[in-house]
Amino acid sequence: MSTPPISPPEVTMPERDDIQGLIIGGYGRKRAALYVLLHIEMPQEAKRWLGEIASELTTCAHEPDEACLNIAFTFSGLAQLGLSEGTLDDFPREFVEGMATPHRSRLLGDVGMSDPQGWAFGGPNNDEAHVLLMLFAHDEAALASLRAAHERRWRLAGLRDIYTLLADVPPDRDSQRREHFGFSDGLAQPIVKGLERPVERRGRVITRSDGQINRDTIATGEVVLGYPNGYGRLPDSPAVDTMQGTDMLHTLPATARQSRSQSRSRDGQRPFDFGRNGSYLVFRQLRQDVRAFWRFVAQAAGIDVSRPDLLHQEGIDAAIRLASKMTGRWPGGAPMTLAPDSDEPDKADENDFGYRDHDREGLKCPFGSHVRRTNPRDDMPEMATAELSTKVANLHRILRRGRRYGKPLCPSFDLAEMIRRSLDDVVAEANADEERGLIFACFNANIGRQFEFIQNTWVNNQKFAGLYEDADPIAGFHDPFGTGTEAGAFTVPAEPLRQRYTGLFSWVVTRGGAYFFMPGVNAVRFLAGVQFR
Amino acid sequence: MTNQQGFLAVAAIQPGHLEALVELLREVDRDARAPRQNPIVPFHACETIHFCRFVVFHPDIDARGNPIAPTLAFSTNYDEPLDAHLAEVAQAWQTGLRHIYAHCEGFPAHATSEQIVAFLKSHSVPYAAFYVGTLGRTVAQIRDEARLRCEIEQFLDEEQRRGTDWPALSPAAIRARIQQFVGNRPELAWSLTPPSQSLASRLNWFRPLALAVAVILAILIGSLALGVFGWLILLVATGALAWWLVLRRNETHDREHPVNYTNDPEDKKKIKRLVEAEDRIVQNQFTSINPIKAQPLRLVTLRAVLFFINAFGRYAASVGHLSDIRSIHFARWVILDGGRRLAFFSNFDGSWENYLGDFVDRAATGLTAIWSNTADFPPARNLIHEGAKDEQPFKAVARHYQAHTDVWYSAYPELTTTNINNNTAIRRGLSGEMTEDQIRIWLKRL
Repeated sequence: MSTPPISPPEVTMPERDDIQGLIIGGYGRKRAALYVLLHIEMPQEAKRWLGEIASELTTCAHEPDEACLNIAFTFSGLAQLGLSEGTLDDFPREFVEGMATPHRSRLLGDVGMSDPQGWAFGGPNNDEAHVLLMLFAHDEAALASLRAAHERRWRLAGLRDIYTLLADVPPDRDSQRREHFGFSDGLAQPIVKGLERPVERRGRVITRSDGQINRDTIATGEVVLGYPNGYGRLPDSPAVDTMQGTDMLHTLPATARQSRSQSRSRDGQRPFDFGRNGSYLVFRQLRQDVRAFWRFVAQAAGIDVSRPDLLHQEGIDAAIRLASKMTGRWPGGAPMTLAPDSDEPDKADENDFGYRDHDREGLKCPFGSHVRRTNPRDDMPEMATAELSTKVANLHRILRRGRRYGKPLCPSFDLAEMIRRSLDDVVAEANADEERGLIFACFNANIGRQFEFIQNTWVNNQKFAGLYEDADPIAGFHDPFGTGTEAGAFTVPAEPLRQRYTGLFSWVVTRGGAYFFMPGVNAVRFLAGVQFR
Repeated sequence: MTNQQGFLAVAAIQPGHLEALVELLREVDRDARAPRQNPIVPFHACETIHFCRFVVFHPDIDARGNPIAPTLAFSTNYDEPLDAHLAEVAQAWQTGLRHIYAHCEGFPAHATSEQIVAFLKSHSVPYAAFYVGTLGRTVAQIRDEARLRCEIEQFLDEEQRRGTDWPALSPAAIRARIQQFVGNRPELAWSLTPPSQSLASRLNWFRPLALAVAVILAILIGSLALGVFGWLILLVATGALAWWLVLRRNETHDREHPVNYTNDPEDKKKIKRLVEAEDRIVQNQFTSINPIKAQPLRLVTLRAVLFFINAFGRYAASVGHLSDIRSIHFARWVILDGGRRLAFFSNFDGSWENYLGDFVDRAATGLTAIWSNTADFPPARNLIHEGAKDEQPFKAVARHYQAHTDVWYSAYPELTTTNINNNTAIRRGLSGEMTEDQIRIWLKRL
């Protein structure tokens, strides 16, 4: 009997000098960030510009002291730059169609106030975005001069900036980790195999997943194309043929797909792997209505919201406790499951924990809470064992690289003050047109199985874990099926009887968004040299 | 207890009528999504239907390259008995069915409801395997119990707002309060008696399983009695070995001719149309029509696999899950066109991506055993290995052979199987003796 020609995908270390740097870290030391959406007017000029930019891109191998620069493209951007039809066909449906299709809007909860019709970018009424340029610098002044320098260059190349998003510049480390509602954010990041960040501990440099198989470690191919994914397969990757960009082909590696991967022997015609070291970047501007959020929480916690002058410590504590139940972590970061009674600062960064052993009934961290549903860890609904749950949950992870925009309602993030300002109508007047929220940015290799799955099956799913009307109390959309009455519920399991809060609505609203592909540096060089059709 | 069942009628479409039929069904589908205003087919007038669908199977080619003419499939998941169900359908939907079946061959003009029943029965195709995730619940019971749970939750919310100190009360006292609330509401009084359980219908449900076991036992005992047990073992072993050798040869052949539809440009267009209908309510539906491989062993193998899934899957069904996947309301496999195609109909909770992901992650074995006998499935090994585990090609081939469901109706678009089963458990807890511990656990269902 002949042996079938299946060879396991080759396991190699990720090529750090080709993968763009935002994938390995969020450049935390660069406090200022700017995101620019560009529209290509003159493809030839744009490619010349791209050729220059390519060598300035920050990679995973080295973070420069001064400034960081990364670039990503929409599907129409890649088409504008002249990728062949065959290569464009290789891209997955999600990326090709883009974020703003009617079906995808239902999946993502981009309906009602979040409808793409009203978006600031990426929607049907906006100029088509082609390129996303991301600039990072130490402070506002450095960022301003960086921007000025780049602006000259992209304008010369005929690129038009159609939208810019400036991140808020946090004054210190503690402020940096807070999102606008006042909670520590970005704590539960997966560790991407081969892209672990070295941490210095007791004078010894170790990596976060050293010594043990960490349950938070995911396969490289879950984020970066060209490496085995969580199923041990190479993620499908767009390939390039010898007919285009001949002088730049040497920059790309050979396609390394499984031998049985393509039926129409597309590999034979297009032997070069364009996708390798690239990743899909989901980019969304999410407005947070901080005052509406805290008003709801305060009222649900029994505070008389019409009398902010009567606000007392007991009421504030009850409100913070309820908001923490909704989040699943305390404002400082300690997980509810490990610190059920109060915020414990020494558990602020705790991320190596599960729910199954200590919190099976959700009495500490409610099933419906934000963190339990966006990463159910070892207690995914219906999973027979902790191992199976962890394995399956890890097939739906994303690498988040977002930042907040807009000034915080209360810059000190003192939550008592935050609640007071939320209830005070005078503050409301002064704050009326101040928009704030999250620049959501995440990387994944399979948009449908990762980002969209999380958003649909976990965040917006009112039926998550056997619930009935409960979408994510923080980030969820509470009217997924368009009944017109947006009023969700939040259930807090308790002995002997649950507490249930009703009348939740979306305090997080989508203002814009698009799917980008962030190629490896060599693939960017290839794009720059692609002969225009 | 009433059992649910699956009914399927497949009728040939008259030449030249395909487009008109599809257009008519588009209109019917629009109505199906607007509850209670269905001028052509008044779906809500049928109390015996859980889910139903009309699917046009467009002209196709089987694995040997022979053409297959277009047909209209009408599939329901209904409450037994069949005669009452079909009589209700034919009566309530008489006008609509006349319009629809006017495009099919052999349908009498101005058909009476009796003629419609006769037509549907004469075109019915039995299933090879059937699965129910909410066993023994009628449509009426599912709707009533959902209303009951809603009322109880609202009562508890109201008490919470009034400041009732639950922790000060014992679980038994809280249960008594709930029982009292329900008892005071005449329209909910039915819930204080548990749902009836008829032994006969339960036994009826397990008949395929009993039959399978009886046949095996009869052969064993018979051969022992006749003294040919050794020969029987030899015969079975030889047969199994021969089957396995041929299967392996078939699989090797398949592996050398792989097909992969991942990111296929034509399929992308098709999927874009398919998803337009998806994620509008809590549930989704899936219809697929796969050519069965031309290798002669494949049809036999497929029939055997489905026979076992139908018989033994009922154990799993009786506790409400298929290979630990709780999100499926109904699933059905039907072999069509004299063994040339396999049709699959299912109704499930959540998105397509979630449903197919569940299959890859937790039910790949059973899935591969079935669909590796159909065209273009990712290559399998020993019938059950690999195959569906190859995530991207598997999801791509599932989309490739997915059929557009022209009309789809759900009787309870806001309920998951977990909700339905939990609602019944809530209702059961309203009556009978319970220990303190049982009550404690029961209260967690609210």
